[in-house]
Amino acid sequence: MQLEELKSRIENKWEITYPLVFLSADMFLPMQYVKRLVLEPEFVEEYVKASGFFATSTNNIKVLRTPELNVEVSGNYIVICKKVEPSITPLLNIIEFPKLEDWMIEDYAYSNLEGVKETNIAWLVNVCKHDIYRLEQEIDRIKLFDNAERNIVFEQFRDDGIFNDLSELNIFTMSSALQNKDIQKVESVYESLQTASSIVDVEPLGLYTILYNNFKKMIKVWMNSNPTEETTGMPNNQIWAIKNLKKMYTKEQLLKVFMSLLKIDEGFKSGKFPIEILVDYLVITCLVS
Amino acid sequence: MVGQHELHTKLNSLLELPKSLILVGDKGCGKHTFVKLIADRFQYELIDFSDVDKEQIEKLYEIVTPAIYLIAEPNEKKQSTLLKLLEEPPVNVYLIVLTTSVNHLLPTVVNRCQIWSFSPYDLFELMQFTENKELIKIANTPGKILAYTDFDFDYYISLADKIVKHISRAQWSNLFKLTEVFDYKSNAIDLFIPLLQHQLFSEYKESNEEKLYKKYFLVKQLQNSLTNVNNVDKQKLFESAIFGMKLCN
Repeated sequence: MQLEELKSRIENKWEITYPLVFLSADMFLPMQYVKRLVLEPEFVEEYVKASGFFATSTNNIKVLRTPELNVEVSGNYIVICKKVEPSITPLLNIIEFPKLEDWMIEDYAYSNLEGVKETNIAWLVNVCKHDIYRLEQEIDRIKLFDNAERNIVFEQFRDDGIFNDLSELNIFTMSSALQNKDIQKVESVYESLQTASSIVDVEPLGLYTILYNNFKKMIKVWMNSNPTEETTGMPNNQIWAIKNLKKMYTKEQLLKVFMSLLKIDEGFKSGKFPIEILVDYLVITCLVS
Repeated sequence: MVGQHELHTKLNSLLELPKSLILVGDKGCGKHTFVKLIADRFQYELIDFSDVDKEQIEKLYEIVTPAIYLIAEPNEKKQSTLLKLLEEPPVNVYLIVLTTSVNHLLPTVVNRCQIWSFSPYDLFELMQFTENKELIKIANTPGKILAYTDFDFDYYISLADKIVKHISRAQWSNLFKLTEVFDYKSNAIDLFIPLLQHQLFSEYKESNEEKLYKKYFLVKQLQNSLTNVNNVDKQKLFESAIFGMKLCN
């Protein structure tokens, strides 16, 4: 089956014969079609983040992802792969997806950002370096607003540096630097924050939430004589990951930092604590514990 | 309406409603219920005036039908907006302000209003709402008692008791099991904190131990923040109190 025929069948709600094999170098386009075919979108998002070959089930259609398909498949499956073994090719309903070209990415942006000026859309596509996943993320922020408001919101976001091309320096860089007491890294992000021309995505409340959640998890694991799924409420892989982190805080320091973090929410909601100094306060709380 | 005989007598003896009136009483004492009685007594319409602004106040000078305008716990900004109304009361407007304490109101507002206060309810009056004497020690108004209607009182009293007696022995990581019991979107924590406060105070009275008083004080601060800070994260507040209580040892 050709891609055009699949598109037509979906749009006209005609019957589709499974299994389907989506042959594609990347996941983006195939996943747009999977979302139309499979009725549980949240589930599909989880699937995308995982890698490897595994079976999932939703609405009786199973979605599989594998680098190379070398076994015959039958039943209600959609398989997404980069390569199919020639010997089984005649037995399968293979739909080849074109490689995402720059013009397709631009087309995607224009068709999803109705209301935004063309010059602004072109700027965004460039800032995202034609990275479709990054572009999808930024487009989703703007799509929350009505068409009439979108251009104004877009320009506000642009002026506030919310669209940024310094993806290396972001909220996770700062939070992990603080958790690891990596003073050099903290200094580097901090210096960038002070520079007016820099665009660094360290949103104070977001940083606070990440630190609060992570210090809580560290207490649940490090200060527990027997950390298990039952005793911590956390999955085993997370417990294992935290157990194996380098312990940069003593138990006393961990408690001190955590209790300081607990007081922050009330502090800024009661007006005692201005949000402008939140990042500074978090840095001092973690490093001077 | 149960009790409040003095207020009822005052209301029944009135020939005319005061132009501006402050009703003072603890949460759940029946302020809103009493306002409805006032409206019935004088056959006036009752209008919620919570979203008062200057524009609305100007329009009040044109109304022809008498009505009661009710505003509950106004913040300072809203109270300033009301000042013109209090200084030059429109003919057909009767203003009633509800508050749990006159200290929450500006002196300029208090000075221009009559103040009617609710009396504390006695045991007999409160027993008409519940047979649970333990509950009456914690909830001293009908409204507060009724708030506990669907609350598993015995379970939470037992939880409060465990916290008071055993928190010093709990592992730090296990404290989250206490704080993660509650659904913070519901009012469960708002109902639980007075129980915990009561248990701590009872234990302190019996033992006179300073650390128990410190714990009681922590929970009292928590209660104040829950009441006075808008949109505060209740879970973080509770965690702060629980961790603080463990540190008291």
